[in-house]
Amino acid sequence: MSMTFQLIILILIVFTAAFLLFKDRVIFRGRFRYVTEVKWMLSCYLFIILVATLVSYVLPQDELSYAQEDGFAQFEGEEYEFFYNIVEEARAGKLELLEELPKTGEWKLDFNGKQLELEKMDGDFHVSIIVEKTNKLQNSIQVIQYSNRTIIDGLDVTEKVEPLHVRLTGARLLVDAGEQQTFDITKFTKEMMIKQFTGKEKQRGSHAFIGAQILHVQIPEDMELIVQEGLDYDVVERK
Amino acid sequence: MSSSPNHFINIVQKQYKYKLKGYAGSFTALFAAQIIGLLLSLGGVGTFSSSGSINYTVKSYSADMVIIVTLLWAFITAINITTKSYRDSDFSFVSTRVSRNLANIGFLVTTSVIGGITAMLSGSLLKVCLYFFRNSESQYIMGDLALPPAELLLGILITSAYLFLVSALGYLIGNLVQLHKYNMVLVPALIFGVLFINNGNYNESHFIVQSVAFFILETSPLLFLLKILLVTSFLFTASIGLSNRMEVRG
Repeated sequence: MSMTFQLIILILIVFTAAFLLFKDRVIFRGRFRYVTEVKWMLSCYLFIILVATLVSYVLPQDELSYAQEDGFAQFEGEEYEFFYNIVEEARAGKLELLEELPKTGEWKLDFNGKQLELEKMDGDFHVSIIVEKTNKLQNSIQVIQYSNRTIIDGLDVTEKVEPLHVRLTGARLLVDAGEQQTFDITKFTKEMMIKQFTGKEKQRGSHAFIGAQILHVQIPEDMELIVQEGLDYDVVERK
Repeated sequence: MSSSPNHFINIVQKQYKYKLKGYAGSFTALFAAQIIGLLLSLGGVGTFSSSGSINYTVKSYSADMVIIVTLLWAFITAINITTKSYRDSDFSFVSTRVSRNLANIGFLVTTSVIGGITAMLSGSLLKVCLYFFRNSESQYIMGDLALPPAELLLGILITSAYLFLVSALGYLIGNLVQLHKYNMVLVPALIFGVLFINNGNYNESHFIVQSVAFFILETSPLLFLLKILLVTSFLFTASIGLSNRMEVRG
Protein backbone atom coordinates (compact mmCIF):
# COMPACT_ATOMS: atom_id res chain seq x y z
CA MET A 1 0.00 0.00 0.00
CA SER A 2 1.51 3.31 -0.99
CA MET A 3 2.23 5.90 1.65
CA THR A 4 -0.19 8.40 0.11
CA PHE A 5 -3.01 5.87 0.03
CA GLN A 6 -2.28 4.92 3.62
CA LEU A 7 -2.43 8.56 4.66
CA ILE A 8 -5.74 9.16 2.89
CA ILE A 9 -7.27 6.08 4.53
CA LEU A 10 -5.80 7.17 7.83
CA ILE A 11 -7.24 10.66 7.64
CA LEU A 12 -10.67 9.29 6.74
CA ILE A 13 -10.61 6.76 9.56
CA VAL A 14 -9.41 9.26 12.15
CA PHE A 15 -11.94 11.89 11.14
CA THR A 16 -14.78 9.35 11.20
CA ALA A 17 -13.66 7.78 14.48
CA ALA A 18 -13.10 11.13 16.15
CA PHE A 19 -16.48 12.46 15.15
CA LEU A 20 -18.34 9.25 16.01
CA LEU A 21 -16.67 8.85 19.35
CA PHE A 22 -16.41 12.46 20.35
CA LYS A 23 -19.35 14.28 18.83
CA ASP A 24 -22.16 14.99 21.27
CA ARG A 25 -20.27 13.14 23.94
CA VAL A 26 -20.32 15.95 26.45
CA ILE A 27 -20.88 14.20 29.71
CA PHE A 28 -23.40 15.83 31.88
CA ARG A 29 -24.26 14.92 35.42
CA GLY A 30 -25.44 11.34 35.83
CA ARG A 31 -23.17 9.90 33.12
CA PHE A 32 -20.15 9.32 35.27
CA ARG A 33 -20.15 5.62 34.47
CA TYR A 34 -18.84 6.54 31.02
CA VAL A 35 -16.11 8.68 32.62
CA THR A 36 -15.08 5.73 34.78
CA GLU A 37 -14.96 3.49 31.72
CA VAL A 38 -12.76 6.01 29.89
CA LYS A 39 -10.48 6.30 32.92
CA TRP A 40 -10.10 2.52 33.01
CA MET A 41 -9.46 2.30 29.30
CA LEU A 42 -6.83 5.05 29.36
CA SER A 43 -5.19 3.63 32.48
CA CYS A 44 -4.94 0.18 30.86
CA TYR A 45 -3.52 1.67 27.66
CA LEU A 46 -1.02 3.77 29.60
CA PHE A 47 -0.06 0.73 31.69
CA ILE A 48 0.55 -1.39 28.57
CA ILE A 49 2.71 1.21 26.82
CA LEU A 50 4.63 1.93 30.03
CA VAL A 51 5.34 -1.79 30.51
CA ALA A 52 6.40 -2.03 26.83
CA THR A 53 8.76 0.91 27.37
CA LEU A 54 10.29 -0.67 30.47
CA VAL A 55 10.58 -4.04 28.70
CA SER A 56 12.32 -2.35 25.76
CA TYR A 57 15.09 -1.25 28.14
CA VAL A 58 15.69 -4.73 29.58
CA LEU A 59 15.45 -6.88 26.45
CA PRO A 60 18.82 -8.26 25.32
CA GLN A 61 19.66 -5.88 22.51
CA ASP A 62 22.98 -7.45 21.60
CA GLU A 63 21.24 -10.62 20.56
CA LEU A 64 18.66 -8.95 18.44
CA SER A 65 20.67 -6.17 16.91
CA TYR A 66 22.95 -7.37 14.24
CA ALA A 67 24.09 -3.80 13.81
CA GLN A 68 23.82 -1.06 16.37
CA GLU A 69 23.38 2.60 15.59
CA ASP A 70 27.09 3.38 15.65
CA GLY A 71 28.16 0.14 14.06
CA PHE A 72 26.58 0.37 10.63
CA ALA A 73 28.82 -0.97 7.94
CA GLN A 74 29.85 1.60 5.44
CA PHE A 75 30.37 1.06 1.79
CA GLU A 76 34.08 1.61 1.43
CA GLY A 77 34.94 2.60 -2.09
CA GLU A 78 38.62 1.88 -1.55
CA GLU A 79 37.87 -1.63 -0.32
CA TYR A 80 35.90 -2.43 -3.47
CA GLU A 81 38.53 -0.85 -5.66
CA PHE A 82 41.16 -3.00 -3.95
CA PHE A 83 39.08 -6.12 -4.61
CA TYR A 84 38.66 -5.43 -8.31
CA ASN A 85 42.30 -4.38 -8.74
CA ILE A 86 43.41 -7.71 -7.28
CA VAL A 87 41.03 -9.58 -9.58
CA GLU A 88 42.39 -7.69 -12.59
CA GLU A 89 45.96 -8.41 -11.58
CA ALA A 90 45.08 -12.08 -11.02
CA ARG A 91 43.63 -12.21 -14.51
CA ALA A 92 46.93 -10.84 -15.75
CA GLY A 93 48.76 -13.71 -14.07
CA LYS A 94 49.45 -12.61 -10.49
CA LEU A 95 47.29 -15.36 -9.07
CA GLU A 96 48.99 -15.39 -5.67
CA LEU A 97 47.39 -12.00 -4.98
CA LEU A 98 43.98 -13.71 -4.76
CA GLU A 99 44.97 -14.98 -1.32
CA GLU A 100 44.66 -11.43 -0.02
CA LEU A 101 40.92 -11.57 -0.67
CA PRO A 102 38.29 -12.99 1.71
CA LYS A 103 37.84 -16.68 1.01
CA THR A 104 34.19 -17.74 1.22
CA GLY A 105 34.24 -21.29 -0.10
CA GLU A 106 36.63 -24.07 -1.04
CA TRP A 107 36.12 -27.40 -2.80
CA LYS A 108 38.53 -30.21 -3.68
CA LEU A 109 36.96 -32.64 -6.15
CA ASP A 110 38.38 -35.93 -7.39
CA PHE A 111 38.30 -36.21 -11.17
CA ASN A 112 40.08 -38.66 -13.41
CA GLY A 113 38.85 -37.47 -16.80
CA LYS A 114 40.84 -35.54 -19.36
CA GLN A 115 38.06 -33.25 -20.46
CA LEU A 116 36.04 -30.96 -18.20
CA GLU A 117 32.91 -28.98 -19.05
CA LEU A 118 32.48 -25.81 -17.06
CA GLU A 119 28.87 -24.69 -16.65
CA LYS A 120 26.90 -22.13 -14.74
CA MET A 121 23.38 -23.18 -13.84
CA ASP A 122 20.43 -20.99 -14.75
CA GLY A 123 19.68 -18.26 -12.30
CA ASP A 124 20.01 -14.56 -11.77
CA PHE A 125 23.56 -14.46 -10.46
CA HIS A 126 26.93 -13.50 -11.80
CA VAL A 127 30.19 -15.23 -11.23
CA SER A 128 33.62 -14.50 -12.68
CA ILE A 129 35.80 -17.54 -13.14
CA ILE A 130 39.57 -17.60 -13.29
CA VAL A 131 40.87 -20.96 -14.53
CA GLU A 132 44.43 -21.95 -13.81
CA LYS A 133 46.08 -24.98 -15.31
CA THR A 134 48.62 -26.32 -12.88
CA ASN A 135 50.98 -29.27 -12.64
CA LYS A 136 50.47 -29.43 -8.87
CA LEU A 137 47.17 -31.24 -9.24
CA GLN A 138 46.75 -34.85 -10.28
CA ASN A 139 43.31 -36.41 -10.75
CA SER A 140 41.61 -33.63 -8.88
CA ILE A 141 40.14 -30.16 -9.28
CA GLN A 142 40.40 -27.40 -6.73
CA VAL A 143 37.93 -24.52 -6.57
CA ILE A 144 38.21 -21.51 -4.26
CA GLN A 145 35.56 -18.83 -3.97
CA TYR A 146 36.43 -15.24 -3.08
CA SER A 147 33.82 -12.59 -2.36
CA ASN A 148 33.74 -9.04 -1.20
CA ARG A 149 31.37 -7.74 1.43
CA THR A 150 27.62 -7.74 1.04
CA ILE A 151 26.08 -4.71 2.73
CA ILE A 152 22.34 -4.13 2.80
CA ASP A 153 21.33 -0.72 4.01
CA GLY A 154 24.31 -0.50 6.30
CA LEU A 155 24.00 -4.05 7.58
CA ASP A 156 26.99 -6.26 6.80
CA VAL A 157 25.53 -9.69 6.00
CA THR A 158 28.64 -11.12 4.35
CA GLU A 159 28.90 -13.94 6.90
CA LYS A 160 25.27 -14.88 6.36
CA VAL A 161 25.52 -15.10 2.58
CA GLU A 162 25.61 -18.71 1.46
CA PRO A 163 28.61 -19.62 -0.74
CA LEU A 164 28.02 -20.78 -4.30
CA HIS A 165 27.26 -24.44 -4.85
CA VAL A 166 30.02 -26.14 -6.83
CA ARG A 167 29.65 -29.80 -7.75
CA LEU A 168 30.95 -32.31 -10.22
CA THR A 169 28.44 -34.33 -12.23
CA GLY A 170 30.24 -36.73 -14.51
CA ALA A 171 32.59 -34.53 -16.52
CA ARG A 172 30.63 -31.35 -15.80
CA LEU A 173 31.70 -28.86 -13.18
CA LEU A 174 28.48 -27.08 -12.23
CA VAL A 175 28.28 -23.73 -10.49
CA ASP A 176 24.96 -22.91 -8.90
CA ALA A 177 23.79 -20.07 -6.65
CA GLY A 178 21.49 -22.38 -4.71
CA GLU A 179 18.18 -21.18 -3.39
CA GLN A 180 17.52 -17.46 -3.25
CA GLN A 181 18.39 -16.05 0.14
CA THR A 182 16.08 -13.60 1.82
CA PHE A 183 17.06 -10.92 4.27
CA ASP A 184 14.25 -9.11 6.07
CA ILE A 185 15.68 -6.06 7.74
CA THR A 186 13.63 -4.28 10.35
CA LYS A 187 14.98 -0.84 11.09
CA PHE A 188 13.99 0.91 14.28
CA THR A 189 14.26 4.58 13.51
CA LYS A 190 13.86 7.53 15.80
CA GLU A 191 10.68 9.53 15.68
CA MET A 192 10.65 12.67 13.56
CA MET A 193 10.23 14.84 16.65
CA ILE A 194 13.55 13.53 18.01
CA LYS A 195 15.41 13.58 14.69
CA GLN A 196 14.59 17.27 14.33
CA PHE A 197 16.84 18.04 17.30
CA THR A 198 19.37 15.24 17.52
CA GLY A 199 20.08 14.92 13.82
CA LYS A 200 22.10 11.81 14.69
CA GLU A 201 20.39 9.42 12.36
CA LYS A 202 21.75 9.72 8.88
CA GLN A 203 19.48 9.04 5.96
CA ARG A 204 21.15 6.05 4.42
CA GLY A 205 18.49 5.11 1.94
CA SER A 206 17.99 1.51 0.98
CA HIS A 207 21.24 0.81 -0.79
CA ALA A 208 22.65 -2.62 -1.15
CA PHE A 209 26.07 -3.68 -2.27
CA ILE A 210 25.99 -7.33 -3.17
CA GLY A 211 29.43 -8.88 -2.99
CA ALA A 212 31.01 -10.02 -6.26
CA GLN A 213 31.73 -13.75 -6.60
CA ILE A 214 35.06 -14.89 -7.98
CA LEU A 215 35.91 -18.55 -8.52
CA HIS A 216 39.50 -19.64 -8.84
CA VAL A 217 39.37 -23.03 -10.56
CA GLN A 218 42.57 -25.04 -10.65
CA ILE A 219 42.71 -28.00 -12.99
CA PRO A 220 45.51 -30.37 -14.05
CA GLU A 221 47.76 -28.97 -16.75
CA ASP A 222 46.84 -31.58 -19.35
CA MET A 223 43.09 -31.28 -18.93
CA GLU A 224 40.99 -30.00 -21.79
CA LEU A 225 38.41 -27.41 -20.79
CA ILE A 226 35.08 -26.83 -22.51
CA VAL A 227 33.34 -23.72 -21.30
CA GLN A 228 29.65 -22.92 -21.56
CA GLU A 229 28.86 -20.09 -23.94
CA GLY A 230 28.43 -16.68 -22.32
CA LEU A 231 30.31 -17.57 -19.16
CA ASP A 232 32.60 -14.87 -17.73
CA TYR A 233 35.91 -16.71 -17.52
CA ASP A 234 39.63 -16.39 -18.21
CA VAL A 235 42.24 -19.09 -18.48
CA VAL A 236 45.25 -17.63 -16.75
CA GLU A 237 48.84 -18.70 -16.63
CA ARG A 238 50.57 -18.00 -13.33
CA LYS A 239 53.44 -15.53 -13.66
CA MET B 1 -20.23 37.21 41.24
CA SER B 2 -17.11 38.26 43.07
CA SER B 3 -14.43 39.81 40.90
CA SER B 4 -11.49 38.75 43.09
CA PRO B 5 -8.66 36.98 41.24
CA ASN B 6 -8.91 33.98 43.59
CA HIS B 7 -12.57 33.54 42.81
CA PHE B 8 -11.86 33.78 39.09
CA ILE B 9 -9.13 31.16 39.34
CA ASN B 10 -11.51 28.89 41.29
CA ILE B 11 -14.09 29.19 38.51
CA VAL B 12 -11.49 28.34 35.87
CA GLN B 13 -10.31 25.36 37.93
CA LYS B 14 -13.86 24.07 38.39
CA GLN B 15 -14.62 24.46 34.72
CA TYR B 16 -11.37 22.75 33.79
CA LYS B 17 -12.14 19.76 36.05
CA TYR B 18 -15.66 19.61 34.68
CA LYS B 19 -14.33 19.61 31.11
CA LEU B 20 -11.91 16.78 31.85
CA LYS B 21 -14.91 14.66 32.83
CA GLY B 22 -17.35 16.15 30.36
CA TYR B 23 -15.09 15.77 27.36
CA ALA B 24 -13.98 12.25 28.30
CA GLY B 25 -15.06 11.15 24.83
CA SER B 26 -12.02 12.89 23.40
CA PHE B 27 -9.78 10.43 25.23
CA THR B 28 -11.73 7.51 23.77
CA ALA B 29 -11.06 9.05 20.36
CA LEU B 30 -7.35 9.40 21.25
CA PHE B 31 -7.19 5.74 22.21
CA ALA B 32 -8.96 4.67 19.00
CA ALA B 33 -6.78 6.96 16.86
CA GLN B 34 -3.53 5.65 18.35
CA ILE B 35 -4.59 2.03 17.95
CA ILE B 36 -5.30 2.78 14.27
CA GLY B 37 -1.91 4.51 14.03
CA LEU B 38 -0.20 1.50 15.60
CA LEU B 39 -1.95 -0.92 13.25
CA LEU B 40 -0.90 1.15 10.24
CA SER B 41 2.65 1.32 11.60
CA LEU B 42 2.90 -2.47 11.72
CA GLY B 43 3.34 -2.49 7.95
CA GLY B 44 6.40 -0.29 8.23
CA VAL B 45 7.79 1.88 5.48
CA GLY B 46 10.12 0.04 3.23
CA THR B 47 11.43 -1.34 0.02
CA PHE B 48 11.79 -4.77 -1.50
CA SER B 49 14.60 -5.52 -3.89
CA SER B 50 16.25 -8.43 -5.47
CA SER B 51 19.80 -8.67 -6.62
CA GLY B 52 21.16 -11.92 -7.96
CA SER B 53 20.50 -14.72 -5.54
CA ILE B 54 19.65 -12.32 -2.74
CA ASN B 55 16.25 -10.87 -1.94
CA TYR B 56 16.06 -8.20 0.68
CA THR B 57 13.43 -6.13 2.34
CA VAL B 58 14.25 -3.10 4.42
CA LYS B 59 11.43 -1.71 6.51
CA SER B 60 11.59 1.20 8.92
CA TYR B 61 9.46 1.38 12.01
CA SER B 62 8.80 4.26 14.37
CA ALA B 63 5.90 5.95 16.11
CA ASP B 64 5.70 8.61 13.36
CA MET B 65 2.35 7.35 12.08
CA VAL B 66 0.92 7.37 15.63
CA ILE B 67 2.19 10.94 16.06
CA ILE B 68 0.56 12.04 12.78
CA VAL B 69 -2.73 10.46 13.86
CA THR B 70 -2.46 12.13 17.27
CA LEU B 71 -1.85 15.51 15.60
CA LEU B 72 -5.05 15.01 13.60
CA TRP B 73 -6.89 14.02 16.75
CA ALA B 74 -5.64 17.14 18.59
CA PHE B 75 -6.80 19.35 15.72
CA ILE B 76 -10.28 17.77 15.64
CA THR B 77 -10.59 17.84 19.43
CA ALA B 78 -9.80 21.57 19.53
CA ILE B 79 -12.39 22.28 16.85
CA ASN B 80 -14.96 20.09 18.58
CA ILE B 81 -14.77 21.90 21.92
CA THR B 82 -15.73 25.15 20.23
CA THR B 83 -18.99 23.67 18.88
CA LYS B 84 -22.34 24.77 20.29
CA SER B 85 -23.08 21.58 22.26
CA TYR B 86 -19.79 21.96 24.11
CA ARG B 87 -20.22 25.66 24.69
CA ASP B 88 -23.69 25.04 26.10
CA SER B 89 -22.28 22.70 28.72
CA ASP B 90 -20.30 25.68 30.10
CA PHE B 91 -23.50 27.35 31.16
CA SER B 92 -23.82 24.81 33.99
CA PHE B 93 -21.37 27.15 35.73
CA VAL B 94 -21.35 30.80 36.57
CA SER B 95 -18.61 31.76 34.17
CA THR B 96 -17.26 34.37 31.80
CA ARG B 97 -16.03 33.87 28.25
CA VAL B 98 -12.48 34.40 29.46
CA SER B 99 -12.82 31.76 32.18
CA ARG B 100 -14.39 29.38 29.64
CA ASN B 101 -11.51 29.96 27.21
CA LEU B 102 -8.88 29.56 29.92
CA ALA B 103 -10.49 26.30 31.03
CA ASN B 104 -10.53 25.15 27.39
CA ILE B 105 -6.84 26.06 27.02
CA GLY B 106 -6.13 24.10 30.21
CA PHE B 107 -8.02 21.16 28.74
CA LEU B 108 -6.03 21.41 25.49
CA VAL B 109 -2.74 21.54 27.43
CA THR B 110 -3.83 18.34 29.21
CA THR B 111 -4.82 16.58 25.98
CA SER B 112 -1.54 17.67 24.37
CA VAL B 113 0.54 16.28 27.23
CA ILE B 114 -1.45 13.02 27.38
CA GLY B 115 -1.29 12.76 23.56
CA GLY B 116 2.47 13.45 23.59
CA ILE B 117 3.22 10.87 26.26
CA THR B 118 1.06 8.13 24.76
CA ALA B 119 2.20 8.77 21.17
CA MET B 120 5.88 8.55 22.06
CA LEU B 121 5.50 5.55 24.37
CA SER B 122 3.42 3.70 21.78
CA GLY B 123 6.62 3.52 19.72
CA SER B 124 8.06 1.19 22.39
CA LEU B 125 4.96 -1.00 22.20
CA LEU B 126 5.39 -1.24 18.42
CA LYS B 127 9.08 -2.16 18.68
CA VAL B 128 8.56 -4.70 21.47
CA CYS B 129 5.77 -6.38 19.46
CA LEU B 130 8.04 -6.56 16.40
CA TYR B 131 10.82 -7.96 18.58
CA PHE B 132 8.70 -10.81 19.89
CA PHE B 133 6.97 -11.65 16.62
CA ARG B 134 9.99 -11.57 14.34
CA ASN B 135 11.21 -14.53 12.35
CA SER B 136 14.66 -15.01 13.82
CA GLU B 137 15.83 -17.13 10.88
CA SER B 138 15.84 -14.43 8.25
CA GLN B 139 14.89 -11.23 10.05
CA TYR B 140 17.46 -8.82 11.35
CA ILE B 141 16.76 -5.86 13.54
CA MET B 142 18.79 -2.71 13.24
CA GLY B 143 18.84 0.31 15.46
CA ASP B 144 17.92 0.77 19.07
CA LEU B 145 14.98 -1.01 20.60
CA ALA B 146 14.83 1.53 23.42
CA LEU B 147 15.39 5.24 23.11
CA PRO B 148 17.86 6.82 25.53
CA PRO B 149 15.76 8.29 28.39
CA ALA B 150 16.83 11.86 27.56
CA GLU B 151 15.70 11.45 23.95
CA LEU B 152 12.43 9.85 25.04
CA LEU B 153 11.72 12.83 27.32
CA LEU B 154 12.69 15.24 24.54
CA GLY B 155 10.35 13.39 22.18
CA ILE B 156 7.46 13.62 24.66
CA LEU B 157 8.10 17.34 25.23
CA ILE B 158 8.36 18.20 21.54
CA THR B 159 5.40 16.04 20.52
CA SER B 160 3.29 17.66 23.25
CA ALA B 161 4.40 21.09 22.01
CA TYR B 162 3.42 20.25 18.42
CA LEU B 163 0.08 18.91 19.65
CA PHE B 164 -0.50 22.12 21.59
CA LEU B 165 0.31 24.17 18.49
CA VAL B 166 -2.10 22.15 16.35
CA SER B 167 -4.73 22.42 19.11
CA ALA B 168 -4.31 26.22 19.19
CA LEU B 169 -4.77 26.33 15.43
CA GLY B 170 -7.83 24.08 15.60
CA TYR B 171 -9.27 26.15 18.44
CA LEU B 172 -8.88 29.35 16.40
CA ILE B 173 -10.45 27.75 13.33
CA GLY B 174 -13.26 26.36 15.48
CA ASN B 175 -13.97 29.78 16.95
CA LEU B 176 -13.87 31.36 13.49
CA VAL B 177 -16.41 28.85 12.25
CA GLN B 178 -18.66 29.45 15.27
CA LEU B 179 -18.53 33.22 14.86
CA HIS B 180 -20.99 33.17 12.00
CA LYS B 181 -22.81 30.37 10.23
CA TYR B 182 -21.42 31.48 6.83
CA ASN B 183 -17.94 30.84 8.18
CA MET B 184 -18.73 27.13 8.10
CA VAL B 185 -18.29 27.40 4.34
CA LEU B 186 -15.90 30.35 4.16
CA VAL B 187 -13.25 29.06 6.57
CA PRO B 188 -12.77 25.63 4.92
CA ALA B 189 -12.82 27.38 1.51
CA LEU B 190 -10.13 29.76 2.71
CA ILE B 191 -8.02 26.91 4.09
CA PHE B 192 -8.29 24.91 0.85
CA GLY B 193 -7.60 28.10 -1.09
CA VAL B 194 -4.36 28.64 0.80
CA LEU B 195 -3.45 24.98 0.43
CA PHE B 196 -4.01 24.90 -3.31
CA ILE B 197 -2.79 28.36 -4.15
CA ASN B 198 -0.33 28.20 -7.01
CA ASN B 199 -1.97 24.91 -8.12
CA GLY B 200 -0.62 23.13 -5.09
CA ASN B 201 2.95 23.67 -6.25
CA TYR B 202 4.79 24.34 -3.06
CA ASN B 203 8.03 26.17 -3.36
CA GLU B 204 10.16 27.75 -0.68
CA SER B 205 8.30 31.04 -0.83
CA HIS B 206 4.89 29.42 -0.28
CA PHE B 207 3.20 30.68 2.87
CA ILE B 208 2.51 27.18 4.21
CA VAL B 209 6.01 25.94 3.45
CA GLN B 210 7.49 28.92 5.28
CA SER B 211 5.13 28.47 8.22
CA VAL B 212 5.95 24.79 8.56
CA ALA B 213 9.67 25.42 8.07
CA PHE B 214 9.55 28.00 10.88
CA PHE B 215 8.98 25.10 13.29
CA ILE B 216 10.43 21.98 11.72
CA LEU B 217 13.77 23.52 10.77
CA GLU B 218 14.41 24.72 14.30
CA THR B 219 17.16 22.62 15.87
CA SER B 220 17.32 24.21 19.32
CA PRO B 221 14.66 22.77 21.68
CA LEU B 222 14.56 25.96 23.74
CA LEU B 223 14.05 28.20 20.73
CA PHE B 224 11.48 25.78 19.38
CA LEU B 225 9.51 25.87 22.63
CA LEU B 226 9.75 29.66 22.64
CA LYS B 227 8.35 29.77 19.10
CA ILE B 228 5.52 27.44 20.12
CA LEU B 229 4.77 29.60 23.16
CA LEU B 230 4.68 32.81 21.13
CA VAL B 231 2.58 31.43 18.29
CA THR B 232 0.11 29.59 20.54
CA SER B 233 -0.25 32.72 22.71
CA PHE B 234 -1.11 34.68 19.60
CA LEU B 235 -3.55 32.03 18.36
CA PHE B 236 -5.32 31.71 21.73
CA THR B 237 -5.49 35.48 22.17
CA ALA B 238 -7.11 35.72 18.76
CA SER B 239 -9.51 32.91 19.71
CA ILE B 240 -10.49 34.67 22.95
CA GLY B 241 -10.98 37.89 21.00
CA LEU B 242 -13.23 36.09 18.53
CA SER B 243 -15.25 34.30 21.19
CA ASN B 244 -15.90 37.65 22.90
CA ARG B 245 -17.65 38.71 19.72
CA MET B 246 -19.94 35.68 19.69
CA GLU B 247 -23.61 36.18 20.28
CA VAL B 248 -24.95 35.55 23.79
CA ARG B 249 -26.74 32.24 24.25
CA GLY B 250 -30.45 32.66 23.74
